[in-house]
Amino acid sequence: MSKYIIKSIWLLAIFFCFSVSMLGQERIIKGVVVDSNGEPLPGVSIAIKGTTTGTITDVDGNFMVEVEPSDVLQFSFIGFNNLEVPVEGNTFLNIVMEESLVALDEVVAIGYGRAKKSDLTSSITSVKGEEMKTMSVGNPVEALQGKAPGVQVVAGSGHPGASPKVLIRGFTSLNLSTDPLYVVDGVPMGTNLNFLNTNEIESIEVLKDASASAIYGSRASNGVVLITTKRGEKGKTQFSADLSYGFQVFEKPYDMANATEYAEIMNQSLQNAGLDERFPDPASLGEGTDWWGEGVNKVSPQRNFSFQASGGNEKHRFAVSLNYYDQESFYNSGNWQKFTARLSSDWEFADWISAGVMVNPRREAWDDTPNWYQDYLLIDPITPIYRPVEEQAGLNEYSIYQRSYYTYVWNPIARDARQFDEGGYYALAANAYAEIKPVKDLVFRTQISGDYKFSHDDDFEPDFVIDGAHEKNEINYVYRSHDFNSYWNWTNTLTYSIETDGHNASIMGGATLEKWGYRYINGTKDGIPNNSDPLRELDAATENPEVNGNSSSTSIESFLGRISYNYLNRYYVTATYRVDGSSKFLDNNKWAAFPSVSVAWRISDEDFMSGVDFIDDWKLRAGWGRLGNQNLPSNVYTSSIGQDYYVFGPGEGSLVNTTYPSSMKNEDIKWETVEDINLGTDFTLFRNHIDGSLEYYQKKTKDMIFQLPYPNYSGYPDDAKIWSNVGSMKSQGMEMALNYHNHAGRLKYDVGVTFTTVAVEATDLPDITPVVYGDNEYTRTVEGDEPGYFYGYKTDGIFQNQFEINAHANEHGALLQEYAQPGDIRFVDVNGDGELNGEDRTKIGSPWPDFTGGVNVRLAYDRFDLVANVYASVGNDIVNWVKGDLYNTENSDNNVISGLLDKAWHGENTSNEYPRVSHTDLNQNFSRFSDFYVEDGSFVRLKNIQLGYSLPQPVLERIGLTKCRFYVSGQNILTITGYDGVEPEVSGDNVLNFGFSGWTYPVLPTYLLGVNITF
Amino acid sequence: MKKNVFSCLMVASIIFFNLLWGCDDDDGQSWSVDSDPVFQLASAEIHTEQGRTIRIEGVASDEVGVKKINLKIDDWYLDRDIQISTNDSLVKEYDLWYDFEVPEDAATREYTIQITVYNMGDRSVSETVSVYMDGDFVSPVLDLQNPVDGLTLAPEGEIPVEIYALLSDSRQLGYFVAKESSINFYDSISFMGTGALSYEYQYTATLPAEVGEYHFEFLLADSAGNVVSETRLVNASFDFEKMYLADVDTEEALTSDLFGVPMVITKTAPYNFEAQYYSEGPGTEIRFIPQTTSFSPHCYGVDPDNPDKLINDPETALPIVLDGKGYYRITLDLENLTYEVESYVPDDWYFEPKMEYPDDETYIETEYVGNLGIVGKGFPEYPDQNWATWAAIEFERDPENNYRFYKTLDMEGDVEFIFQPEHPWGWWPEPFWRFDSKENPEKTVLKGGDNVALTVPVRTTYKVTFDSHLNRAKVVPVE
Repeated sequence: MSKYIIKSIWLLAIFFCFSVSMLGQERIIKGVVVDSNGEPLPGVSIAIKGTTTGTITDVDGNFMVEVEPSDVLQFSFIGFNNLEVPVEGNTFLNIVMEESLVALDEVVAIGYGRAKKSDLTSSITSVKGEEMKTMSVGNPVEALQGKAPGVQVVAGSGHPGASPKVLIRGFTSLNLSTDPLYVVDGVPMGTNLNFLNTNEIESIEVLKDASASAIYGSRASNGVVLITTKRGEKGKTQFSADLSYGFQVFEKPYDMANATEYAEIMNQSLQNAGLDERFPDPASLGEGTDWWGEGVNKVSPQRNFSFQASGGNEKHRFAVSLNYYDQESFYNSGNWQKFTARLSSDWEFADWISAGVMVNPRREAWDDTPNWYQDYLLIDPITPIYRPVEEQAGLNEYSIYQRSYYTYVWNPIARDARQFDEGGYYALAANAYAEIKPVKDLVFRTQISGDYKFSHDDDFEPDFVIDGAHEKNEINYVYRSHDFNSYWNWTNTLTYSIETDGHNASIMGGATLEKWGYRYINGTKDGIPNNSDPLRELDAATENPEVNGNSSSTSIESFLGRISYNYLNRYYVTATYRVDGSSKFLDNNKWAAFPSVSVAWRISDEDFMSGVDFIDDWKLRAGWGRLGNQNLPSNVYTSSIGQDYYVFGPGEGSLVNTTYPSSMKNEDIKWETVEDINLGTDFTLFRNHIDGSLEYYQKKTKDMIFQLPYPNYSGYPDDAKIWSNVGSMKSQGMEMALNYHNHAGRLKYDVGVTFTTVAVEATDLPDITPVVYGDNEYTRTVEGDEPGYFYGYKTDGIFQNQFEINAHANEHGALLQEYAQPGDIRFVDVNGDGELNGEDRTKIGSPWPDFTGGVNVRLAYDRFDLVANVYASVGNDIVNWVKGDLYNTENSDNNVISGLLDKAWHGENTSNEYPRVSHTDLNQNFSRFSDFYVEDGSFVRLKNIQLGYSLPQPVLERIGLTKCRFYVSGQNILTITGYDGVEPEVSGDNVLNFGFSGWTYPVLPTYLLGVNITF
Repeated sequence: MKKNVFSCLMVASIIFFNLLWGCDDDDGQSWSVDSDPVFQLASAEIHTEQGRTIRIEGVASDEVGVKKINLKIDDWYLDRDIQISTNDSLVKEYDLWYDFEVPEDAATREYTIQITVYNMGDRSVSETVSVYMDGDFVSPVLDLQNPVDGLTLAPEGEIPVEIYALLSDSRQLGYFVAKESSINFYDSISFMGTGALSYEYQYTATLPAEVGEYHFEFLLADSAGNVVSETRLVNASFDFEKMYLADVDTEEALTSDLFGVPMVITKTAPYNFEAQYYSEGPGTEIRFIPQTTSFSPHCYGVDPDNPDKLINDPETALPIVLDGKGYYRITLDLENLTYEVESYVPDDWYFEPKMEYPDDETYIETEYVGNLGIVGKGFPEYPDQNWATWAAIEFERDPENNYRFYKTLDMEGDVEFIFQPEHPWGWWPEPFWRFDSKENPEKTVLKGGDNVALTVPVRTTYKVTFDSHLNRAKVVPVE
């Protein structure tokens, strides 16, 4: 099937390529345009001054144009300074264009339109595709880290196919999703960009404040990320290939005890608990089994291949992009592959009408990558991998493994061998648009888009018995599911622009219709005759058939408008208004309106600034807007019935299968509303060598959604809840971007710094639940403090002797920790009431950083170039649950970290950090959530460093290429942190469980070799 | 103007520095005190024993303020400062009472605890408390074997009530009292001066031939004043509060179980009971008794002279014989001495594990319910089983009866358990069964009740039988 699709795509690509019509021109004067490095510049506009006659350079930078000797040629190209050259008697011109250091006239995407960057009145950060593609990543958002101020990207996990967590200017909701809205070429595309390859991206615009994103209304409260993909450009057809091959490295994260040391630690732990030692002669056990070495591959390859073709003429432009990415896992099972194609075609039928289409077939496939590397570390090193040969007779291939002698960790190599879960999808996105200009300056645009995704998941669990008591599956089973997601969107806009006497205005109005559909069916059966591959089908199974299926759909209808006006490009005002009606809401609040307004003042153009030479451009901005969050769980607007068994009837009664109302819809439920103000300034200084922006923002959420219990008199059971609009919170902060561009001789350099602060505060919580707990009460949210802070016990070192334990008592001698022994953790009686209990829990850390930032450097010297991206998160804390495994032997025989006997307390003043090892933990050293687990999570990470070399022009000409660049790069190869856990980039499912780190699949160093070719 | 500003700044600076110095003085304030504090101990001697908490009491006072009190005894690792006054808060009199647990390994000798009281001038006074390891804190043992609590006796005439108790103490018995005020029964014995360590008490009290409730009270004291007491309710009635089904033949079988034998049945109305019971095979013989440890004085069975009627006679009552294997419902009318027996097939819910995807972590997290097992402690064959659901001791399920579960295993020491499905992560999936009582369980309770908590002094092999339809469990020794 996949082969058929690939063939089809190639045929489509060939069709597009042949559809190019070639250009022909007369020749009077010839020339070539190159940049300051001597690289030819294709697509440079050349106009004869004072006329409409002109041409553009071809892919090699060559041009030909009919001129008079008195003519002056004007050369212009985005990103380069304009140049005027008199023709005079020349017949051939060598033109060298200088790059403009700051592209003020750069055009960026805004909601339902485009605008000059210099005209923006709101907070929008733009990152070019060229910057994104310097990293080879599975999810493009990962390459955004540190490049956009106000955007916090947290990897969370490094496993193949992982999707990072993105927070734009913090968060505005406690119970709903905090993911931003991703809009690709004008089409909302969910919350996961795995389907995109960085090579497909022309630019990414992050709409950060409400005045920018209010045009997306009820889905914009977490910010909006606009992705513009590459389209064809006028000019000779150009082919390019970007190929990289690399590998990730997974070093053993902790040095665990070998068999001898394990036995010594266990003996000591048992002895400390008053139990008998288990291993009479630890030394005789030797090194034992190296589980990590046997089961985890040290390196795993990564491939990223991308091919593009683009070109066109005045009437037709096209672009074809084929991309393949794969990442293997460190186990024998688990990997991720994706193939995406993007084919676009744009036609200019006449001055007044144009149209275009884009199709985006894509395929992702994965063998479910397990995340159980901790099992290779925690299983005891005494156990061999396989049972003795004589015990293997008669067992199936999944039962020949040895059950752990001393732990309840399942044999990880056995698990790896029976991992057959695999999934993926086939998807097709497409859009088509037409643009009509019925009268001058009036543009009507209609666009229809669709995205259809067929997902599948297959699993097979063989029967096996490794341990009859707990490590077994006595009957094999097979599972298969098919999901279908559909989405369509029809958008119509009408835009009228006016430019007269310094007054520039644009008025846009539009309407959209969107609908999402979802349906699924899955089935399982048990009892397949054997475990062989051909029989892993539902039809081959004989027992316990079970089938499930359901469907749902939601839709939104919206009306939107925007008015932009400026006078003399100096005084700006923009206003937007959107009205959304969502099927998610009931009649009482079906529709909501989201207005915004923003103003800007180019102060540098004022007369009183004429003497300030070092300021090239300086603009002040202010904006206000209202946004919504409609990502509600389904039981907000539907009532549901729960099921349970209860004992009813006379005497002792009998068990009865019962149903009860578990939740009721709220007829009055409505959007969470965010109101946002933004103050900012953009500046360019010192002859464009320095540019940047500085912003302050404040976002207030009201009508936050909480699940509240019913009052007792309602008759509903205790666990029945109703979602209600109560509560509010506030987030505010500063962000800064500062860039410096210059060159020293032949060394060109650009250095950019980004910096973001976020402070979030819960300002109002429901009276009925004034304290909101998360994650087993390990986090707490109260009015006046930041949401989701870590909530637990404070510690004060380790009891060094019995004197200290006896002194840790109230004034009447009651011991605060009556079960403590020397070597146990001392917990603080925070409220001073002479008792140690839950009331002594307090704020022990925060998952939210004081600031995040990035440093991005680009250097070029002759044919060499260097890119480096550094990302930092400072001031956040992390709960390192791994400590509970590495240092803890309480009621556990799992393996622990090497050297534990020295590291843990083993006598007075031997440690004030790690408690004694013991198989009993009556003092709750480990089971009490305390700041023992909380560590400073600050880190600085070298996200990417890439060194490139481009072949010189003569060599390129000999081999028929226009560009050939080789590079080596390293991603995530250096992380500086005091955090002792596996991975400092820690996220969470939601705001209330952020910052908890366990055995996360870490973000791994990746080393790559690559080449960029253009011809 | 400038002069004025300068003057203002000067004045402000002087005020600021004065304030600053003033603050410094406060922090380092020293107190001039001419007298020592006073400390009056409540008792300078304490008689105790190892592992027991002692209380040190006294009153500390000072005319300026008691700053702190230090309690010190190096032998017991105690060196504790109790802060009492601060510069901002002076306490002139402080009632000290401080509890401290004497270490278990303290030698049997005299110890001295030094208590030092400091006043705000850092003058001090010390007192010592002598601690002796000769306290008697062990209560005497009153082993009251007859009458059993709740004993119901038929008032066919005057009723003799046998009282039998074994009295003992680790040092010396004091006195014993037995009484029932409504019948003017009072008997007492004094052991003072005899040095008696044990005594066997026997007496026969007589109840009138009247229906009623009789509350017997028993009190035993040792020579140190430690007192224990017991009460017993004896009913003179034919309407028993509880009735038990006995499917065993001997009194030894009635008492050797951990619990569950005989099996409590349901009282449906005065004199009326209903039993639901699973017969494990044809020919099962059952009888009904209102007491748990003996077939006497009451035992209801089939009247040998009239098989349709019941008879209350331990000697002659014949067992009711259940013909087949399966569930039976037996109704008893003790007023009219009639009974009915019928078999039935239950159709209520039975436990089913959900463990199809043992490698699917989402499934394990949200839906997994393992096989039903025993979770608790006190099972020497299963050292990992210490309230660990991941190591649940799996029941053997009756292949012919979805409601029945069995497990034979050893128990020893403090035994606690519930019936709980296994979970590989140690979670506690529902449903689970606990018991109506920690120490005298008679019924299981679905998703409620208490953990059973019993003591098995000697390692013993038991068979645990659980019937989720009957909500009954029994634990009987295996030969």
